Amino acid sequence: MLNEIIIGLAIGAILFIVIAMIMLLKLKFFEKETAGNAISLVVVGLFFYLIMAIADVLNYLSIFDGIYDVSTYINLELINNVISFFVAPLIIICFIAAIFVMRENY
Amino acid sequence: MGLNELLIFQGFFVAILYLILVFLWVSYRNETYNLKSRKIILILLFLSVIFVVRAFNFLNSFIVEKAFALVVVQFLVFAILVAYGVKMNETFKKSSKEELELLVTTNDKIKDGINRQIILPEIIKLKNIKKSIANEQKNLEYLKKNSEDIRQNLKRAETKIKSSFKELYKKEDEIKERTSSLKSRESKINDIEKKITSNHDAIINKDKELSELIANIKEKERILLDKEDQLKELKEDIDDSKNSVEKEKGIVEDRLNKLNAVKNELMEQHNIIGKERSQLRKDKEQFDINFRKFEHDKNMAASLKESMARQKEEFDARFNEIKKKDAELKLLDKVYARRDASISKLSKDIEIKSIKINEKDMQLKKLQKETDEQQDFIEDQLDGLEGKMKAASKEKARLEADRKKLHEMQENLAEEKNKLKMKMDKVDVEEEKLIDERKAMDKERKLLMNKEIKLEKLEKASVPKESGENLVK
Repeated sequence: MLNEIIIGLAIGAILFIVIAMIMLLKLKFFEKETAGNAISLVVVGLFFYLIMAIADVLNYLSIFDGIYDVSTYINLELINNVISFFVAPLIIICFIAAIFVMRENY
Repeated sequence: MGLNELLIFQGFFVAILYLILVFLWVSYRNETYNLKSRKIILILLFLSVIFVVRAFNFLNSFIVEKAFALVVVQFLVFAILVAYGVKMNETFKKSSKEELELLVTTNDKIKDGINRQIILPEIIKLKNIKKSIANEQKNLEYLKKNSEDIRQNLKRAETKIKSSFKELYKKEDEIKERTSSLKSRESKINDIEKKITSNHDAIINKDKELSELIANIKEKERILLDKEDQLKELKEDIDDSKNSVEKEKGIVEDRLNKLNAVKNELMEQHNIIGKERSQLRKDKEQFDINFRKFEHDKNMAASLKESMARQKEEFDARFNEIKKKDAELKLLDKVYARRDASISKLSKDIEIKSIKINEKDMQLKKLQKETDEQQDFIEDQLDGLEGKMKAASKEKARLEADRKKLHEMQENLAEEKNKLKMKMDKVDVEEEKLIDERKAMDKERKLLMNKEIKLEKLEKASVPKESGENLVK
């Protein structure tokens, strides 16, 4: 039961990420140009986070028994390695860049 | 260093980076930011918990618990982010509306002037451009509809042409089949004619043969009659010479038997001839029937020929009609080609217009951006102006205070000036007095000098030099 709840929450989080990206893109129009750039950077970071969240869901599907094993179709280990090596740092870099861009004295 | 170690290191590196990001945000909190909705970053910083927990993914214990914690935090953070985004969106919309309303309805003369002189013309231009765009879009839609109608008509015409071509091909095939069948019929009729002519010739030959046979039979009958006469004469001779002939009776009887056999044969031949005659009659009748049939077929062939000629005429007429239709179709093709050319021109014009519209859209966007920027700039300027106005009012108050002070100072100065004038007058008087005194002094000095000179002269005359010099000193 807990496994199903985890997967459901993960899928809900993915949906929320997509909605948050759309909302941020809408908010971009009310901001100034530099702040808009910062928001677009945040959106890029969220996009990378979305990829990570999808990979997490696939991992949960393969880890928890009795649901659906995706590892027969996809090389999950490679995806996990790529995400932990490249995608996770990119998220942080995007957020840091956004904070630096949105400063007035920048 | 293996891959797993690298992964663990990378996880911790990411977590540390995120903690640095949190530290940066906390340390730069007092700084000013361009972002109106800066709480988004604050909400996103809560994701640091996820990255810190993810750094400990290499531990094989509490997998489900870790996953649950990660997912719950993730879900909550993004739910809050979405809720905040929706709320901020609504508030920004309201505030922008209010700002716009403030921009439009104000009692401030400067704002009214800006609204009238800068924003209103831009709005009017934008409205005109929007109207022109809407008209062009309507025109475009109308042109598109027209082009679609023309295309549909073209397709219909093409389908009609194709169907007419198919019908023509079918008719041509039918005509070819009919011509081939007619040719085959003609050839059959010719064969039948040939057969009939050959039969006719054969019948004529058989007639000739029959007439010859009849002539032969008649000659044989004559011969038989002659022979019968000879036999009668012989019988008479036999009767006459019965006794003499009795010997020869057997021979004659044999001859008679032979003659009877010949007679029988002849009778049989006669019967055969009769049969042949009846057969010939039947054949003749058949021939007559065939001849009639042949004549009937001939008539039919003639009628067929006539119908063929008619069909040929019809076919020619149809062919001419088809040719005319072909010519008409060619004309239609030309017309459609012209229409295609006009459609292509129209489409090109539409494309050009769409490009122009896009350019106008881009210009509009640019104008909107510029107006937004100008609005921002004006807002900033207005904010600056308000600040400046406040500063100016403060400065005014200061200046008024300074002016008052200056007035007081000026009054003081005037008093001091008067005093100074008085003093100057006094000084002048004193100066005059001093000058007079100086003059008196000079006079006294001169007198003294004269007296000294006199004294010197007197001393020169009486006292040594040194004592005289001391006196001068």
